[in-house]
Amino acid sequence: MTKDSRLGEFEQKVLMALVRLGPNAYGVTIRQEISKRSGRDVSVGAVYTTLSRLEEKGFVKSKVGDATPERGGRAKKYFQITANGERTLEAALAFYRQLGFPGKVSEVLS
Amino acid sequence: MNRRTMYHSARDRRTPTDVAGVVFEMMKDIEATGWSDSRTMKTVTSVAVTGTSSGHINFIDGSTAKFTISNPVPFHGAKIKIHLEKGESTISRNTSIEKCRAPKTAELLLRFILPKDDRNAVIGDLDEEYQFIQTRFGSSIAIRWYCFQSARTIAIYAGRHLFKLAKFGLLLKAAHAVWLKLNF
Repeated sequence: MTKDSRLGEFEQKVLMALVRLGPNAYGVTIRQEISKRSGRDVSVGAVYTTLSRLEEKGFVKSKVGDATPERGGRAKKYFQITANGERTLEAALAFYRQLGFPGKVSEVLS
Repeated sequence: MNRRTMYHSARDRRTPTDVAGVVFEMMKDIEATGWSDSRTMKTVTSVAVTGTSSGHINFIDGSTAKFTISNPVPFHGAKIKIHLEKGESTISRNTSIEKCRAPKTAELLLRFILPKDDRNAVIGDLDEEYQFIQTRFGSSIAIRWYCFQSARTIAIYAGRHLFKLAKFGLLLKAAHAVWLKLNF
């Protein structure tokens, strides 16, 4: 596994949010999804810097939507996970499955 | 003076930009029509927004009245409809919430620091959420939220710029070391 194909914890969360949101994944929905699931507030900047890093690695692709009056004429930027991104996320999740991690640390210790 | 004019003059004084504020203003308006002598603005204890499309007004006598937000998209100006019932008598009122702009200084700072590719998307996202929070919780909370989010975003991007500069500095230092080695 090369350095570029490794995923950090937050990168995994962002990719999973993209998978969950499907075609409706843009800044606001991604941020809200991660905040809702992780229970901690995530800044817009953190989401966008992670997304651009993932885009550089080729795990995510983006497209600019139409400009809408709801956002003062500013277009939404939609994100989508690529096949490469899906493979890498799957590999990262498989690691936890291989460990047979049941979900609770106490269960692993016993 | 018609209802609309009355509402506008009330709004000019209090500038309610959240749902609860607008509903309070509308109740004042209803009181002025003389429709009810018991359910007036003075007897309203609280206004609760229970969802993105509805809410209720609590009166001092324990009774409640529902209101609906017919167009909950905040940026267009959410349209609120109050429908009160008392016995056989009913009254309905419609109005919309004023759109309030996000803090300009924070937006300018964001424009300055954000890379061109992300600029419109990030500011648009912040603006979209700002409008939503403003409609639900009022301007002061929305402004605080916007400033806090902007500060965090600016800090992240500033850190990124600094990191790039530091990397460039290290590169320069290495090049300088190589150059010194070659010369001596």
